[in-house]
Amino acid sequence: MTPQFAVVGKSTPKRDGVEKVTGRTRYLHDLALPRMAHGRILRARFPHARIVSIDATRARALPGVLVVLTGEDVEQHPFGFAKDQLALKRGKTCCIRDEVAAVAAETPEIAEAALALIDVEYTELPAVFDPRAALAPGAPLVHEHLSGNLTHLRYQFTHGDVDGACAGAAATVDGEYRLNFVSTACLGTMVAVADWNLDDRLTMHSTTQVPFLYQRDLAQALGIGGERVRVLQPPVGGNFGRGLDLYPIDVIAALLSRAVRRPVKIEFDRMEEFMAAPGREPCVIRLRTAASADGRLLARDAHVVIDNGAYVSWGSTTPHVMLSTVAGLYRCPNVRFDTTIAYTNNPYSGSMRGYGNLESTFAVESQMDDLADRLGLDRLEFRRRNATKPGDANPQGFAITSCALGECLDTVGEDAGRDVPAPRPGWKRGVGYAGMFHVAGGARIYRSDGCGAIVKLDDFGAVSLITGASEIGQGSETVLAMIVAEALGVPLERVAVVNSDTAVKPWDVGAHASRTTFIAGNAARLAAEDLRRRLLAMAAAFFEEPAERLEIREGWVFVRDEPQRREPYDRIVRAGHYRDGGRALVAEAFYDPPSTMLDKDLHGNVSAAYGFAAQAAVVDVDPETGAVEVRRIVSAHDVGRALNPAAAEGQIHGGIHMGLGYALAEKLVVEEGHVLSATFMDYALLRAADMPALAVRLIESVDAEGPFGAKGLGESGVIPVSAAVANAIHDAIGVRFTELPITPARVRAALARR
Amino acid sequence: MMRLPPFLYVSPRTVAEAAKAVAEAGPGGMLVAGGTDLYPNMKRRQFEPTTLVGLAAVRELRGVRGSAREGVTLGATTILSAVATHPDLLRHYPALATAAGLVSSPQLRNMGTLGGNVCVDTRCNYYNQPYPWRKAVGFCMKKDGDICLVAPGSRRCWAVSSSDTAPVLWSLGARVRLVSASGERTIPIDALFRDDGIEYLAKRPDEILTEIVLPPAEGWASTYLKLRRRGSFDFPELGVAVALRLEDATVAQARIVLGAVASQPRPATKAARALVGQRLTPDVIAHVADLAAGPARPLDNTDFTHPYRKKMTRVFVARALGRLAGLERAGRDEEELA
Repeated sequence: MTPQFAVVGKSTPKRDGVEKVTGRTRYLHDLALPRMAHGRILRARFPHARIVSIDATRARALPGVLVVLTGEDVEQHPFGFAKDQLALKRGKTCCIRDEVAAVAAETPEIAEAALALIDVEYTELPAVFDPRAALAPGAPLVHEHLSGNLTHLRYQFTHGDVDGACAGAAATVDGEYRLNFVSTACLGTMVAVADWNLDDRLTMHSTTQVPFLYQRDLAQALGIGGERVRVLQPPVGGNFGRGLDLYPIDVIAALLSRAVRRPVKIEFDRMEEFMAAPGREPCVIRLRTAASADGRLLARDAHVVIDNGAYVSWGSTTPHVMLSTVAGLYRCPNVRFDTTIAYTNNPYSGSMRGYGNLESTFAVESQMDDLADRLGLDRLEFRRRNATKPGDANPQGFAITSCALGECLDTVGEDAGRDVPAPRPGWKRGVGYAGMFHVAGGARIYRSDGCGAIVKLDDFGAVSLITGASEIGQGSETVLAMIVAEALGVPLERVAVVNSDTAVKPWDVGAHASRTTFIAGNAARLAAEDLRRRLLAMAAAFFEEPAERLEIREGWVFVRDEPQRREPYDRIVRAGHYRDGGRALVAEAFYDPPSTMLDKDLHGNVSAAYGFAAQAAVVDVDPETGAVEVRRIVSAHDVGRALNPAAAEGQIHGGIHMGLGYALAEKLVVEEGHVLSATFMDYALLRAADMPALAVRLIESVDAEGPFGAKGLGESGVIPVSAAVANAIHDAIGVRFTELPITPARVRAALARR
Repeated sequence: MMRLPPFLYVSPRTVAEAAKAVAEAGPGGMLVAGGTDLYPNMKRRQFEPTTLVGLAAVRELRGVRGSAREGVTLGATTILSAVATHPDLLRHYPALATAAGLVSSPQLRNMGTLGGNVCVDTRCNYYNQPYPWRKAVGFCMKKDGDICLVAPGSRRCWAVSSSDTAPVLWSLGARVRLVSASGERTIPIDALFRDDGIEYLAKRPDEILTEIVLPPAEGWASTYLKLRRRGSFDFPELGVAVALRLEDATVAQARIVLGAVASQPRPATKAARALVGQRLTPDVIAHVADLAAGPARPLDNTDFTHPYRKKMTRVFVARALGRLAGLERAGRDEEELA
């Protein structure tokens, strides 16, 4: 029987929506503190160069300049995933982003003018911009203290007998898939406001989406204790994974603030954002897939080469997720996976929504189609035959619990061609499919994958959820409030969410891995359930009835069998408070999911639940011009339960937008280490008018561990898009594209070659 | 930082006042109408005027008069969305309405003007960039530098004419009225342009483009096709404007003008001549399209590769003619290329 919910399952407007669309939201960009100074960063002129000298005399003499800092002027500590960079570089520059000096001044204009007055003498060094070339003997060393350009990261995995399986296969396909740099293209550029006060405590106003890790990493980079750093998170204009790491902007803002003992704000302009904000990593995936004559997958063998750029950030850890798709998207009994991750003098990449999964899904799903064709099987049927099912344990040891992949495939199969007008004369129509597999119950990449929650209920009946979770526009405030309202039995509008201050909120890993609804949602649910027990205990005294006979619904506390005996819940709170031995109502919980970290061989059960989806893309291709027009995308998602269906759909819409850009238009042009596409005119983000018709189908498998059955879906919309579109183009014109973006010129050239 | 530099803004009420103001402003003066191109360019320091003479308050510059039979006169600051939706223009000069409706986005068409689009700055990948970007690559001759970064060794600038409406107006045989403090002149629109990326207008800086005069439309059919990266937004990578006068299904007069293939709109004269006296059969169209692609010499300085743009010239001319012939396989107003 379907449980009856009062709040969850009903489409609810996002809490930040009205403020945002009416321009009232005060973003971090809008923040101005009293006596605030403005910082700017001088970046490298060459991707690889010795810094011979820096002379800031002229800049320091400019009226209004408060301080100029260089790497030699300040104490700083290495930071980053491999602790391989300083915020202000010393000795040499390793990529075009490199921070050579920083200025704090009275106004942004003065700070900007001061940059032009810093004289830096460089000696250019031979540079390397390709990871393969970086590993050749005699290649220039990006970091001279290392023996080579290979990073310490390597992701190796073996399960079963891949060679044996391939040898006995009815068909194998091989391919090399090339993925390029793209930007998160957040409307809100990166900003940091640092306020180092006179008792040596630092308050950071930040765009981070992992405030507690940021707190620790920032403190380490500055050589102070984490307890001296407080992180505030005002509304941000997008993040999409960008806020997962600590970056030089943060450290430099803090160093400038410490130097001038005033708040300092650094705000990227758009060009700086394209150049210096981390995006999606470029990589080459070599993949082989083998299948039997009856259409069963036998093996996958993958090797991924990643251009790490100059420093290690999260972009180079994405093989974690690439592997989980190679090993886990459909049943595949034999799997081998390896990586080569090399330093180059290119910009480095961070985490970005989907986190390696777009890349590997593009490769894996391209080969699913090619294999089906090779075997003469229907492409959708081939997928169905290999679909993961509840109860599966995949080669990595992921324990699949709720799973509706088969239903997702069926849904998009039935729905794909519906309501699409016929192609124009001469255009070729194609339909392409792709599935998706992603963590949906957290991802234990740290010892703790937990989140804390505090729920307090005051005399007015106002409920505050104080959550560790970070709101970065994804709708977590709304859904967490819904969970609390549902668990407590109070009206949604009585629940407020507090989530933006590390001095107040309990710990959380952060907003990543599509984990917030699941992890923070469970924490909020547990705390709310505890509070409900306490409220019922108060009500028991009030009604002089055992708590078991009482119920709370829609803000009323009542005796279950005698519903006329009821009181507004806030009256119960006051009665329980203003009496001898009175109590105030506060409850807390910490939820850490039942999952394990991967061991050194990349085995484990990294998430408490897994998400599945399938997409169908209907495209028309104009053979004469190479134009590709996506007419419709149908996206079916196993969401466990849709707590806020409109928000879930919105997340998927946004993901499809990002995925279509990746497939067809977006490319951050990086040549010889320089970022050339530095404006929205050159970087072709798709606009609303470029979007096709979208149909989202939410499929509820009701996960036993998820809050009210829900699973994460923040990333699942974006992941299969490029694969589905590429497969649709292949279906339309018979050309297999293995590199993104698939531009009209490339389509036409490929057709002309045939 | 991409912020506007300080400048003086003058807001005259009449053309005469405006002409006086721009003359007084001297070399540091510029005209601005909608500002949709100029202001972003100023933020990137592609222009650094000390005085802007705004035409927004000059009411006599706005509006559409006349008729298809006598010819239509368009005020230069008529906004593009008004041109795109004007019933007479849609019926009798459809290529112009189409082109105006394909400029940029709805918001910018509500600010941007027809005159502004006709006079819009030429574009180049090495020029339409923020100041620090241009500084990093070493400035080009169009602004702040001495050399051409597209064609090193070139003595001229190859920035690309990027107006949608200019090739259409050329194909329609429009004339433009230029007014200055010292007098006025009306010239054919093809005399307004020069094949130079920097000095791309024959208009003197103190002259104000006040009116665009279209000849009578009777007997003429016209169309415009645009190639661009995103259907929602971008400047043309190629514009094809075709105007034909048909007599009993035979072409009596023809003009084909290409946009975004040179520093000015480029007429495909030989192709147009080959149409005269012909019926628009598939064979004729294919032949003429081949001829039309001849004058298109795109360089590698906009979106899309230049060989692709050159190939598309043939395809788009054929489609434009096919559309006017009422043949199947005609293209749409815009080619959405993402």
